[in-house]
Amino acid sequence: MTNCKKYENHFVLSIYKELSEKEQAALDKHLQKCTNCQQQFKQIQATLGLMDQRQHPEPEAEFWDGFWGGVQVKIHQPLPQKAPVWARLKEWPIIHRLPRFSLQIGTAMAMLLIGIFIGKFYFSYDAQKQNQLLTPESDAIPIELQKQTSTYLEKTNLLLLGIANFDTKNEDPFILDLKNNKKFSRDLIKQAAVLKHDLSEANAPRLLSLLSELEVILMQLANLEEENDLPGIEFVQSAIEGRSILLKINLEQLRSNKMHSPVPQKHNEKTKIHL
Amino acid sequence: MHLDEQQIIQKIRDGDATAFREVVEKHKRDIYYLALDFTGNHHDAEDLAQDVFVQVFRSIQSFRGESSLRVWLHRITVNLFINKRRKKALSAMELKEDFSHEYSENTSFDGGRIHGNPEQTTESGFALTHINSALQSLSERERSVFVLRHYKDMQLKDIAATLHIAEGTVKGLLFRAIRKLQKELAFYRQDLGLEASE
Ligand SMILES: [Zn+2]
Repeated sequence: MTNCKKYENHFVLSIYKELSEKEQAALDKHLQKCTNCQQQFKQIQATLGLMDQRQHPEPEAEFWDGFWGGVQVKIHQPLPQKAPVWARLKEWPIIHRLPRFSLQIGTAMAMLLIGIFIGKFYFSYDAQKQNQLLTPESDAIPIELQKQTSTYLEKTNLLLLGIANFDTKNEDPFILDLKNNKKFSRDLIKQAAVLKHDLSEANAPRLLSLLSELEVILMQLANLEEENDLPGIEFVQSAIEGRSILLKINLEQLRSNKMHSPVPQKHNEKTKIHL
Repeated sequence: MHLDEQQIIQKIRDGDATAFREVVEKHKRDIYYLALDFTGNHHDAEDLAQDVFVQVFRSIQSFRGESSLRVWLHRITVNLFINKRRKKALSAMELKEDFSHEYSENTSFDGGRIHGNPEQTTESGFALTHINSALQSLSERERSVFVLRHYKDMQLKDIAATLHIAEGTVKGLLFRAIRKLQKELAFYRQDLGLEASE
C-alpha cells in the first residue's frame, strides 16, 4: 500500500492527460488491482464533474452592447489633453532636438505653400469650388471627434515636419532620435485606427482618406532601421513631399479653425482665406 | 494559427478598427466569463475584460502568432488579473487586511440570476452557488491555475510559462486547488449519489 502514495498526484494529471504514456500505463495497472485508489480516483472525477456544471450569471444585454464602447473609452483615456502646442513639444523628441529656427522655417514654408495652394485654387476655380475646398467635411462630426482629429493631425504634423526638415546630407541622424520617433509613429498608427473607425461612422471620407495616407507614411517611419537609416529617411521624406502631406494637414486644420471661428466667414471674402 | 486569424491580426496592425472590433465582439464573452472566474464579481470582471482588449490593441504589434489569438487573450487576462491583485494586495497590506478575507466578502456573483433571484434558489441553483463559491474559496493563484487548466484546457507547461513559475509549482497549486474543491463539495457528491456517505 505504500505504493499508493506515489500515485496520488497522478490521478489529477491523468484526468488532464498530462501523464507520459509510461506513467499512464503504470497508473492503469495499479488502479486495476487497488480498490482504494479506484475510490479516490472516482472522487476526484466526481468533483471535477461537478465543477463542469458551473454556470455563469448572464449579464444584461445592455452590458454586451456597451462593451465595445467601454473598450474604446479606455483606449482613448491616456491621450494627452488640450495644452498649447509648444508646451507639448517636449513629447516629440525630433522637434525638441531640432534647432528652433528649422522648425520656424518649416512652419513658414508650410504657410507659404498653403497660401500658394489656396491662391491657385482661388484663381482657377469658381467660388463654389473654392468654398468646398475650405468647407469642413461635415457638420455632423461630433465636436469631441473634431478635437481629437485636430490634435492627432497636429501631432502628426509636428512629427513629419521634423522628418521633412532633416538634412540627410549635413546633419547627424542622431538628432532625429529615430528610436523614439519610431515609437511615436507606432502610437499614432494605433490612434489612427480608432479615429478612422469613428470618422467612418461620422461619414467623413476626406478626413478618412487623409488619415489613411498618413498611416502609410507612419508605417514607413515605424519600419525604419533603428540608426543611421539615411536612405530610409530620404524615402519617407519623398513620400511626405510627393503626397503633399503637410499641405493637406494644414489645410484640414485651417478648415477646422474656420469652422470654429466665432464669426462665420462669407464665401466671397478672399482676403481672409489668404490669412 | 488559423489563416483567417492571421489576416485579421494583420488588418489590426495596419490600423483597421473594424477588424479590431470584430475581435472584441468575437471574444468578449469568453474573456468576460474567464475574468468573472478570476475575480468573482461582475464589476471587476467587466473592468478586467475591457482592459484585456485595450492591452491587445496596444500590443498587437508584438503578437507573434505562435499561439492562437484565443490562447493569447487568456494569457493576457490572467497576467492582468495577477498584476491587478498584486497592486490591490500592496495597498491592502497597509491596512493589514488578509487577502483571502477580502475574497470571502467579495464572493457573491452580484446581479446574476444565480445569487440574486430568490426564485432561482432551487436545489440546483443552490448547488451552482456552491460551485461558484468553492471556486472563490481558492487562493488567487490556485484559482488561476485551476481555471486555466480545467476550463481553458491550457497545458501545465503553458500555464507555467504564462505565470512565470516552475511547472512543479503549477502542479502543486493544481493539486491543492482540487483538494480544496473536493472538501468544499463533498456534501454534494454524497447528495448526488456520487459518493457513499461515511
Ligand atoms: Zn493504491
